[in-house]
Amino acid sequence: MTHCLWCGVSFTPPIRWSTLFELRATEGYCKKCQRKLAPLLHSAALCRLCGRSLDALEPRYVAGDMCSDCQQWEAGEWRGVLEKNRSLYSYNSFLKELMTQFKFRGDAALIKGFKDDLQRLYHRFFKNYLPVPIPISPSRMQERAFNQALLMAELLPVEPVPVLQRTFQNQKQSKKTKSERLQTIQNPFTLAEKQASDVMNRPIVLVDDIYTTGSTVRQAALALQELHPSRIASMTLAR
Amino acid sequence: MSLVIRYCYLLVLAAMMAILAIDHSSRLIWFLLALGGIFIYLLSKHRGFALAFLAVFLFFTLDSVLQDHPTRLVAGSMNQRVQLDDRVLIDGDTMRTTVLLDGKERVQVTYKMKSKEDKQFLDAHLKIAQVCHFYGTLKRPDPVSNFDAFDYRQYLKHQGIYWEWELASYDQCYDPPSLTVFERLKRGRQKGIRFVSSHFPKPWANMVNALVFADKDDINPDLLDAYQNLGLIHLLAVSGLHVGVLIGLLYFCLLRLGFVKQHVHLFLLLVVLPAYVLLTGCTPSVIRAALMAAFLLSAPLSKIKLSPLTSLALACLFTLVFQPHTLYSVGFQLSYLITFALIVSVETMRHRSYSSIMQIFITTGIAEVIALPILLYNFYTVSLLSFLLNLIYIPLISLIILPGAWLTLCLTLSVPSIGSLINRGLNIVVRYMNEVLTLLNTFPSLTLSIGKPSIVGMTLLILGILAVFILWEKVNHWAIAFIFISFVLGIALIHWLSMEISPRGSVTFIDVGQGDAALIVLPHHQGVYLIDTGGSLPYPKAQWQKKKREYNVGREVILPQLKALGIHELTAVMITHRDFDHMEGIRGLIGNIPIKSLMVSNFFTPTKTERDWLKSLRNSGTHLIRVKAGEQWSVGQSHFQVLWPETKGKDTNDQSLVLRVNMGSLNWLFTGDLDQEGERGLLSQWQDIDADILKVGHHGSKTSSSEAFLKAVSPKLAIISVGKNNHYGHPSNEVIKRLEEQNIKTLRTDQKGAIRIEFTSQKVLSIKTVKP
Repeated sequence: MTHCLWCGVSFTPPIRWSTLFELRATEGYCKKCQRKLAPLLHSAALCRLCGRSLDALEPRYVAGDMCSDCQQWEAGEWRGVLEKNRSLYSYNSFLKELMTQFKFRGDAALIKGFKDDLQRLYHRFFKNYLPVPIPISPSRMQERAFNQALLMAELLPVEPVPVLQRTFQNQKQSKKTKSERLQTIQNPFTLAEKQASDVMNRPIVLVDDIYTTGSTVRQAALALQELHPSRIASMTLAR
Repeated sequence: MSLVIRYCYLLVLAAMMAILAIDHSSRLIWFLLALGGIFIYLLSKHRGFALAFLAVFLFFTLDSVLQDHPTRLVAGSMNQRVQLDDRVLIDGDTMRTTVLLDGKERVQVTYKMKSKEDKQFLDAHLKIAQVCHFYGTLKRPDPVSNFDAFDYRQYLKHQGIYWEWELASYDQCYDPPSLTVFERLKRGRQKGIRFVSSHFPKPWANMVNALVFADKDDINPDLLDAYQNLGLIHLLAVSGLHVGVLIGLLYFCLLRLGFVKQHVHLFLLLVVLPAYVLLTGCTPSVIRAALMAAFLLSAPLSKIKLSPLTSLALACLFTLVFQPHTLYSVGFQLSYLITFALIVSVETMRHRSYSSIMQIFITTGIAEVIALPILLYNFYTVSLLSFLLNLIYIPLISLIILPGAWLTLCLTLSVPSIGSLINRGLNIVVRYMNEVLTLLNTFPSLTLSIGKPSIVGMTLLILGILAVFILWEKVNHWAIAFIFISFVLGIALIHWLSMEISPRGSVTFIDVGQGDAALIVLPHHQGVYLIDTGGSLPYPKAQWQKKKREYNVGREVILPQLKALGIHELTAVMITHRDFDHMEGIRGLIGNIPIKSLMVSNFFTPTKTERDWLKSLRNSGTHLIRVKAGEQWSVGQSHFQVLWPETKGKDTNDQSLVLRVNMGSLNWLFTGDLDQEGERGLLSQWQDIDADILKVGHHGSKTSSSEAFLKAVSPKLAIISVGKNNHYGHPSNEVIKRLEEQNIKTLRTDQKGAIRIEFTSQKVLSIKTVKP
């Protein structure tokens, strides 16, 4: 028996054949809260690039197996910077509420409930990729005391390599409009010298909490180009 | 604490290990090693849980030591007033029940009834709670006397029974002035069974009694065998499913009738569940389901919510505390293990959103696979049809037959006219169901005899099954079905290879009581030969004395032995001569195991009885072969030689087929019942007749085994196949003396039980006897 990380009700997470002898106090969300999440991987068609559900989009925003946003990205100078993105859930009102609690009110434990899901996502799409968390700036670290992307990456079966650093923080992404975000020219990410050499020529998956327009992960991907990664993809909790 | 509750099922392992360790103290070191290993693993995961595991182990060790009361009774005559508290089973002229003596020790009661009137009286009067004065003798139950056979003494001991009370007579039976609630319920059950038997047509009545009252007593044993062999016997047991359906229905109805929810919970918990458990004779599966239902029902009352897995584990621990030896009951093992497997699989099934047909397929598949080790360990066979039949019969029984049984019982009590109409309809359905199974059971090749698995084999099988389940969970692809199938085929292949490769041959002198039966398994499984089949002389019986199925040594003793050795076909059965103690057992083999050929001597003259047997043998595909003295043939490196009969002889004994078999380093001589005159003839025909191992002629009768013959054969080991306390006084002291004088080591089946000699082509590996 354990308590739901969100609503606090007590519930019993199921035991399966592979976890018979695991003997771990699992943390997670009760069935009721889980039902409020909208898993993307259940939908029939995903955008080939950003992994959003194409079923939920109006037809005019869909072009073949891609959404129109991604088409825009691929039409310009950002073409091919990001191999693909895959996310667990669509960013609905419940997840929005949950992320606020997690990020801005500092309930760091919430993310642990997604451990199994994140691991499954990693195994399915990013086997052998090195997880690189999107960093936050020192000043933001001061304010928040944890990096949400690093917490997520630490739940993965492979040790994350924090090779990126963020020299300055733009205005909070969430407080900017789309055009403002796309206009950010100066790249806030640089390589942290120390560890960079270990990850030359490897496939890399960037780990972040939310993929909204895709500009953050693309900027980070650009900063990683020096390492000549064989691929750069990204995974996020929400899309 | 919550972790301990969540992983409660692992604590069941501790309880099981404790109970097994106490009962098998000679292997204590292995149990302690395993315990240590598990403890270290748990310690690395969670300290508190590891300590809980150890505590449960120690608790159950103590518990099973305390529960293991040694007996306080002694052998000899015993006359006592007793009160019946168990069902009285009457079959033919025997009556069996158990009684509790002085509220302390339970004994098995058997009584051979003297007359038809005696039987009628007992049938009518011996009810639960009846008080009677019994006169009889206490003796220990017979110890097991064949390899891998059902151990009756052990079976009784697991129920805390150490003695059989053979009654000579009884008197002064009377009803007690008042009955307790329990006694009333138990009587109600008896009454119910009788009511169904007399008011319902057969075989429907038997089905209703099995499903409502958990009483299989009236079912034809051959039909029961069919259900058993085809892997459907669980359908005739009152299972957890029944309890679930019954409680669910009542719950719904009572709520609809406007009762308060809490009252309904209390009513079901305190009245319905205990009553139903008693009504169905307290079988492990019903107790399991009732306990789980009880946990579920008490949840809203006590605010403790348990997961299904934890409820199952607690029910198991609860049962084992009071009756540690239930662990050995096959019903208990299957009920808990299958429920466990289904609960653990349910989450994955839900995720996959299978179609409902697919769900039935997968549920049946899971149950079949998880039951495999238990069925193999207890029955040594796997039915190839089991999966398919279960797919059809489980829905049939649980959706039509079971509700039908309850419905018609209610209707027959209230509106008999409608009741009898439905009864007639369902009777036809059940008759066809049974006939299909009886028919399928006549193809013994559809049942694979795998043999008793070794400890290593069992471990590998269990690990393999776990691996297959985990794989199924991880990979969502139709190809997994292919892996399932190859897993099963793999087991069969490994088993087959291990038999083919094994250079080990064996000869087993089966303890068939008074009679002969020697089973030869050649190295590399090149052939399986049975020399004589045992058997008994039938004596005329009145109708009331006849049992539902008469005992046949071939079916009850030889067949289980063949299954335990993984033998699925007899290359040949050789009948030395047609006396009943050498041949009658064949009746129990016909149709139950394929027999390629039957060998008899050219002087074998069947009477009407044997001709019938030979006819049914021929119908089941057996070749009849007559052999002459002087014939010989080889199989691999083994050599068979027919030495006798040269002449017709004066009686059947003198016509005995005498066989000399050379296998590897040893010469064997099987002489049937040949007597001294035949022996003289044999000596004059065959100068070099010496053998290493001699099956002593005619069960050690003084009419056989002359000094000259023993000298000429000069065996190193002599085997006497003979029944305990037989009417003929076999073996004769004279023969024993002759053997002793010549310094021939002798083993007797009446003293040692079955005797098995294992060998390779180079040497003798071992000589084993069942009794020390």
